[in-house]
Amino acid sequence: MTQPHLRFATDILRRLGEELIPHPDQGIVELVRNAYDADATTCTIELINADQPNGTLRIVDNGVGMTRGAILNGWLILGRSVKASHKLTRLGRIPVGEKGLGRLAALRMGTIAELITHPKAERGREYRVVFDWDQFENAKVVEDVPIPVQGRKAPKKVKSGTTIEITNLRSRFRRAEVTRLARALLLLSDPFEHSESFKPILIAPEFADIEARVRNSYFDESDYHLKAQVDKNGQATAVVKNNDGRTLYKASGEKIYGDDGPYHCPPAEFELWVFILGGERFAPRPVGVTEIRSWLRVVGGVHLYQRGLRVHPYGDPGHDWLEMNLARTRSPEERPSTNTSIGRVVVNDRENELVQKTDRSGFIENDAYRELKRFAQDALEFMARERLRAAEARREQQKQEAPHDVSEARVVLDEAIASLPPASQPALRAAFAQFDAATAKRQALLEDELRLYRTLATVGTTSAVFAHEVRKPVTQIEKMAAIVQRRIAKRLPDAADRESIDKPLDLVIRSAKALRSFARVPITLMQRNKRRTGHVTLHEVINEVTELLQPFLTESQIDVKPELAHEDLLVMGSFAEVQAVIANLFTNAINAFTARPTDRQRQIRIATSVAERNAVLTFADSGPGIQGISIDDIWLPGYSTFERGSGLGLTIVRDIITDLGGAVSAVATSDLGGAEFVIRLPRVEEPE
Amino acid sequence: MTLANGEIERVKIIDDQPDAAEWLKYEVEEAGFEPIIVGCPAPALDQLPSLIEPKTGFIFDHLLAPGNCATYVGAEAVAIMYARKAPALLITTYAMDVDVGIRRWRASIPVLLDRDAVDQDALNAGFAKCLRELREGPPTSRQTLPAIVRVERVSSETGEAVLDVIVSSWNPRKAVRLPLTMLPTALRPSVRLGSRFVADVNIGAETGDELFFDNFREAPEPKPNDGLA
Repeated sequence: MTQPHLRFATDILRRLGEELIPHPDQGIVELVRNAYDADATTCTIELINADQPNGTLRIVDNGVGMTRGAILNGWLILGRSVKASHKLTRLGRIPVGEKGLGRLAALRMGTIAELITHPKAERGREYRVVFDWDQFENAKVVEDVPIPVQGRKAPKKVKSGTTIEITNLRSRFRRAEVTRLARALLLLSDPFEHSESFKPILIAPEFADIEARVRNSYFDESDYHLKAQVDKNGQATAVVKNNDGRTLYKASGEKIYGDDGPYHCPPAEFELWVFILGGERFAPRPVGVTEIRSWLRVVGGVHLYQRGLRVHPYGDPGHDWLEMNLARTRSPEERPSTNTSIGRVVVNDRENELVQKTDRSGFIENDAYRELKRFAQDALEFMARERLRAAEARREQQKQEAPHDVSEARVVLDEAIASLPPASQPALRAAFAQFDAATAKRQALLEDELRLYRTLATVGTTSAVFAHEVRKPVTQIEKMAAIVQRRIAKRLPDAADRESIDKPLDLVIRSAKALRSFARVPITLMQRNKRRTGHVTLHEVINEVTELLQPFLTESQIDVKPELAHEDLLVMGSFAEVQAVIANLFTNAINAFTARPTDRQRQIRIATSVAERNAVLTFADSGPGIQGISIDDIWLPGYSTFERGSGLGLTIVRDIITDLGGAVSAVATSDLGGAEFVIRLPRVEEPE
Repeated sequence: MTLANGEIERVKIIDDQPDAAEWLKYEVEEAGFEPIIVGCPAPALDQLPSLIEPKTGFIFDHLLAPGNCATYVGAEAVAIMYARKAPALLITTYAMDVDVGIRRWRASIPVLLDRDAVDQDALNAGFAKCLRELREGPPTSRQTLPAIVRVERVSSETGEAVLDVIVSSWNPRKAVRLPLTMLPTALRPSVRLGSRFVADVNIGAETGDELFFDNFREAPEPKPNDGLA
């Protein structure tokens, strides 16, 4: 009696073929990889009328072909995870080994697939296998369709090799698909080595175009060349050289892997060529930056080669597996991106630690893969760290050399004046002396401003830390006082007794609340997310700052009257910038009210309106107005008429408004009696 | 007013600062529950469920590490309690924690209270809301729908990569911050300025702090003829 066994419905072929591997190039690449395992030196892929319906795909290699046994026990078995053999092929290649599902997807690209092979081991023999996929459509289970392997005498003088022809292609190969296939084939065998030992060729016009770009080698034009290795003990070394081949930085061991220790991945090599693509940088070279960019667009990124063949999709556009672009976005200085570098990670992996995913979308993310990635990322990090250090040293040196450069320029200038006719020299010397004095004054002002900014930045960060730490205990004081108050209310029946304790507790609560509100100010102003640039709603900022400063305003008995436009006004910038403008105007007004009290009721009016394409913000107060300083001088750093003022508030207002593309003006006495500031900022239209 | 009082009789408090825990004890008492301070160090994450008892609620402070009370954060602890249907409130002092430290667990945190807002009413209302969600499922504002998430900025916050994203179907003008690690590893290499993903987002949330994201996936390419022309 026949034993029951598991059978598969013919639908499974579609699931495992075209559905699992939707891009035809991956299937074709797998057939080409089979040719590599068969020791082929060339593999030609021909698309015949493939841009039309029912076209043909033909793949011809000059490898060792297959015997009947190899067809029956290898090629016709799909999905078996063939471990790469430790035994090298006749040409010394390590077989890449495949599961055959990519092959299935490729063979199913047409309605008929035909294999003709001439084995080297059986000279003069030819074997032919035909798949008629329509037969499978009509069958119930896969085993119902016989696939005979027909053997016969080969035509004379036929050399060994295999030809696969797929006819009646179901989809057309348009330019995008052909380009994708051409790139995959060109990068399949390591183009960095210029090795001709295995050469897939696609017969298509797009191929020549892309081949020309891939084969172009601009490696010598790179600015930095990183070469890192990890050995079988997980120990790593890395060297970075410059364009002249001079070693700039090198490291090994824990200087690369840090606290995480040696790597647990197969031995590998990582090379990266980095280009600084500034026009100026490339000016003295024979190659234009446009050419390099165009080359990098096709081949850029870090490709991963296992046993000499590229593994898709590492290094493909949009597949930044080492997260170089992300690292660059987070810390842009001295870091390469996939658009400015090209590289490869080469791994032989004799122990089969890296396992390809069934759908050919790279390796399974096991420990070996993760460790390999860590090694490459650490090498990149090492290079970035060293380059950053060098950049910092460069900046420091420039700073040191700047005064020397000025002295040298002065000598040159004096010599130039001395060479002029004596009559014209005194006037020129006087003019330059005047220029020097003005420059020195400006520099002194800038240095003074810088010192003030530094001091204020320190005050800012320190008060934020204090506010941060104080918030929790202050909240507790307030809340505990409220609890005590409630408990007393329950336990003391006598109203007079209650009041004698209630009143001081009220004061404790009010004081704690005030303290908590004051502590909120630096924390809110320092919030990191407010420094993002984008659309800022002016009214939102005005409302938040007014609410934030309310305790100060209440304490100083200042009444704020907002007169805001009906529509929301959007401006471009960061919340923090607009917030700093409004907070500084408030602080300026509060200082004015308290430094020079008047009899008028203390009022601040914040009004917004629209004028042409600008948002207009008017900030007026009923204080003493601008006195004892000219309107032009109020913007100068360090100038303040208030004893407690830093002299920077209005400078910051002016600088920010200028940065945001706007303008600010001041009026000494407004209709409220005090100063008035008018700010115009370009308005952003509401998004659709 | 003790809305939750019938279903919760005692509340266990986990806070790394002894004074803060002591204060919470009084607030819990005022709210009509029996307070129990769980001392530090708090149980390890996998031991937390051992604290669960009938008619017991929990209050977790978010930052438990500064006082050396636990190696995890309160948000993660609340999420564990949520999975076991135990009512738990999360308290935070600093708004900035919401973006990164809390966001990843936000779907399992029905109630997040600012420390300033904690009082007997807030505790009762919080537990009532929590119990309702555990019983009836999340309210509309915490139900997710697929939404397009656009990356506006990639930066680093205390050493962790963070994204500022726009969820147009929630608010096209407000960027929301979340840690990059909320995206599956395979998607992270595709993150760049302007890249778009699809995620399940509670777009009915009132504020950005309440938003949470799940099931990030690649956004399909826009179709040239989407019928909108």
